[in-house]
Parts: sequence; C-alpha cells; structure tokens
Amino acid sequence: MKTNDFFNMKRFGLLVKHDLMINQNKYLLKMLVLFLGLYAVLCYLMMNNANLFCIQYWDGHKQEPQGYTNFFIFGLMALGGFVGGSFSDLGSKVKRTSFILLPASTFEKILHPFLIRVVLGLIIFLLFFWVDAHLARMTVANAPSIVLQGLVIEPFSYVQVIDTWGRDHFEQLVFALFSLGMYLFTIPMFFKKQALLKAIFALFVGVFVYIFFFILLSHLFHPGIYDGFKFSVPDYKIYKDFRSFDFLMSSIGCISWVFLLFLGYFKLKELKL
Amino acid sequence: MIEIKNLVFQYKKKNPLFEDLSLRMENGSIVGLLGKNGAGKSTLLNLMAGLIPLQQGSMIVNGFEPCKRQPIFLADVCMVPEEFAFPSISIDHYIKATSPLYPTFDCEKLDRILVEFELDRTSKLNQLSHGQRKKFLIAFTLASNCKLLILDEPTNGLDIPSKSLFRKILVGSVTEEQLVIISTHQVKDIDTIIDKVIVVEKGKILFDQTMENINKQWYFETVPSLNGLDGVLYHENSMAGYKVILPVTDERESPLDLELLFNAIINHSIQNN
Repeated sequence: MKTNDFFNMKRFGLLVKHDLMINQNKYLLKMLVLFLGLYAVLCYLMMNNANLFCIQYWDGHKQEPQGYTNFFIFGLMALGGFVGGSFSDLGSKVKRTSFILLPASTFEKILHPFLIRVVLGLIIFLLFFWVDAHLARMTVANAPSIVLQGLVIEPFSYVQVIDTWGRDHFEQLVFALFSLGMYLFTIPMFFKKQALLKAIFALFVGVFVYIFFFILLSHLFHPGIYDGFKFSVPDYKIYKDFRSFDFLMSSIGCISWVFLLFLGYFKLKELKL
Repeated sequence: MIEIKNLVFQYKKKNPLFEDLSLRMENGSIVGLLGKNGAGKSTLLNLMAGLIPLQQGSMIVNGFEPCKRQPIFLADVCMVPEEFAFPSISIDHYIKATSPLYPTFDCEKLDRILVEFELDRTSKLNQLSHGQRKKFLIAFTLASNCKLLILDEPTNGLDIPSKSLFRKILVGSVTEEQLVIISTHQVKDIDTIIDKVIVVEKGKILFDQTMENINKQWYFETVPSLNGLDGVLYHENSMAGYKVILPVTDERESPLDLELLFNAIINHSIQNN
C-alpha cells in the first residue's frame, strides 16, 4: 500500500479547507448558539440557584461549587450532539454520492471531521465555557437588580471540575467520555435517517442488554440469593486498591474508542450508495 | 480507458442485473450509454465511479479498480449525477472550496463556460433554478479536466438553448485524454456529439458501435411510403410518412437518427455485428 493512498498532508489540508469553507455558516451559527446558550443558561442558573456556584461548608468540610461541574456535563452533551452529526450527510443518497467522490482517502475522510468536530469542537467548547462562566459571574455580580442575598459566586476554574470528578479516577473518566464521544462519532454512520437518535437508543439498548446479562448470570449461578432485577458483579482485588470491576470499567472506557474508530473507518471504507 | 470483464452484479432480493458483461471504452471519445428504464445504466455508471462495489468480474478505469477509491483515481473522475445537492453558498465560494481538490482543474475554462451558460459567480447556488444548478454542475465537471467524466441525464431540466449550448461546450472542451460517458433517455440531445453508442438491455450489451461503423452500415431516411423499398431493416410511422433504416449499399451517408436506431436495436431489428 502506498502511503499517498492513505494520507497526504497537502490533500488533507485541502479537504479540511473544503469542509470549513462549505460549512462555514453552519459552524459559525453553531458556535454563536453555543456561546450565547452557555452564557444565558449560566446567568439563569446563577440568578436562581446562586448557592450552587458558591463554596459551601458542611460537617467541617469545604465543598467546591457544584453548579459549574453539573452544567459542564450538560455542555458536554451538547458537544456530543455536534460530534454525533459528523456524518449526518451520509443519510442522504445524493450527499453520500458527493462524499464518496471527494478526492481523498478514507482515512482522510474520517480524520477531517474528527479534527474539526472532536478536537477543534472540544477546544472551542472549553474556551467558550470558561469565558461564559466568567462573563456570567461578572454579569450577575454587577447587576444591581439581582439580589444574591450575601452569597459570593466563585470564579470558575477547570480545577473545580477535576476536583469534583475526583483526581484518582480523572484519567479513566476522560477516556470514558472520549469513548462515548467516539461512539457518537462513528455509530450514527450505521443508520440512515435520525442516525444520532438511533445511535443513542442503541446505546441504551446495549447497556440494558449488558445489565440483563449480569442479571441472568446472577440468577443462574446464585439461585435464590438474587431475585427480580437484582444482580451481583463478581468483584475481587487484583492489585492493592485495584479491583476487577475497576478493571472491567476501565477496559471498556479506555479501550473501546480504539475499536470504535476502526469500526468507523471500515464502515466508511465499505460505504456504498 | 475503461475495461470491464465478465461483470456480474445483483441487488439484494432482485434478479441479476448484469451477467457476464464485458465492455471496453477508449479515452478520447464521447460515449452514449442508452437503455430502457431499469436496464442498469445508472448502476453501470455508479460501478465505474466506485460508488458501489463490484461483486464478480473485473473493472479497470484509468488503470485503477474503482471500488478501491484511491484518492488519485477519485481526483480523475468527475460526475454529474441525476440528482444532486449543493450547500447554500455562492458559486464563487463553492469553486474556491472544491476546485483545489482536483489537480487538473482549469479556472479559466470554468469562467468561459459560466459566461456561456450566463451564470454569475456571485449567485447563491440554492437560489438558482434546477436547470441553472445543473448547468453549473456541468460547467464544474468539464472544467475539472478529469480523465473520466460521467454525465447521468445531463440535459434533464435544461431549456432548449441550454441543450444546444451544452452540446457545443462539451464538444469544444473534451480532449484526447478524456473519456466522456453520457447516459440519457433524451437521445436527440446527444445524437450529434457522440462517437460511440452502447445499448444496455437485460444486463447485456446489446449494441456497441462507433459512429463511423454505424454510418458505414446503416442509412437513415424518411420516406412517404414503404412501397418499392427493398431491405428495410426497421421502420416507424412519422408525420411525413415513414422513418426507415436501410443497409448502406453505396458511399452515401445520412445524419444519424439515434432514437430510430435505439428503437431498432431494442426491437432486435439491428444486431451488433
């Protein structure tokens, strides 16, 4: 196989330029909606639930503001929607023709939406969230008509998100989120209409089947102990604090993105009208 | 150049469309691909462009296997599909975004064709009529200078002046390195420009002749009566009497009546010698 058939920097650059030029209005509109949407919702939350954005003390412990982290997860869901629309054009036969005929390799055709939607999308989202969180805090704190009843809204920093999620499992969580992103990036390719919704539905079905499998095994190997939808997950210590269940979840979260990317690549390679 | 050997193709749950189809087309010609509805013309074009994978047999287009979709192959194939969609951007914007992907693209040629088709570069593609968008797509395809140009029903939706302009522009822009395949039901639109006629019927090549051979073998004439005419191969009623095809017995030549020839081939009155 010639390298040029797989990846060529100049051709890839032209493909990225092509995508940005063709979809520039769509992307700019989405960026504007994201920026204003994050700002508006953060302002609303700060005005109505200011205590979520303040440091709280209970039982002698200091608790970082939860509001930013909770809303950050909603923001990530919106980003997931954007990532999930990477191959939305493939649902239409007419647009699929144009996509297949674009003079680029399959690898370049999967890499360019990854770069634009996942990498650039994430960078822009993180930047917008940070700017919006600070803007919203300044707006709410300086607006004379808004009474915060003595509460002081804390400035946002990404350290709060990391602390809330827990530093011990932060890497695993990032990988799990990345895997989820890759699921939304690739699986909609397998559906023609309402691809993203069907992919999300398939995920729920998959999780249900997974849990159902554990329920079945629990009933099979521990009859009489577990009834109804109760189940047990075999869990034992592998090394120090590292348990088998941690290993299972880490494996799914940290490795599945590789499998999903390969799956997406071969689906795109075998794409036909 | 296109070389197809022993092609077998079948859509799921349907009868085989092509069974042992072999075909050869040389560069430097304009080929008219004709056939009844459902004969497999569009499928054949899609196979040549690499839009659908080959099932059995071999197909080589410009030295490449189309279904592999190598970027260098895709950069030398340009297609006007029967149905198409454009993003909501201006012609100029589209050209700047897409033309760099085709290494042989000629911007000056495109400008000349756009002037002839009376298309303004600043016009928004989605605000143009279907015919205008088709003219733009034809102009873009011709300016790409790709070795293989596939035109599926290119004159559908064009007004009468545009059809004659299309013929003039096409003949003036095709070079010896290029192969143009036109599939159409409107045979009168292309009868003066094609170098070769291929008729597909029931998955087989029913007729494959150059214009030179056709002119050497058959004579097309309109006569008031069939009385006294010997050796009529095929005839049809017309306003002026009868349109007939006769074998050529001397040096005389007649303008090709492609519709009459097509009907004669479909009715097996004329065989591929």
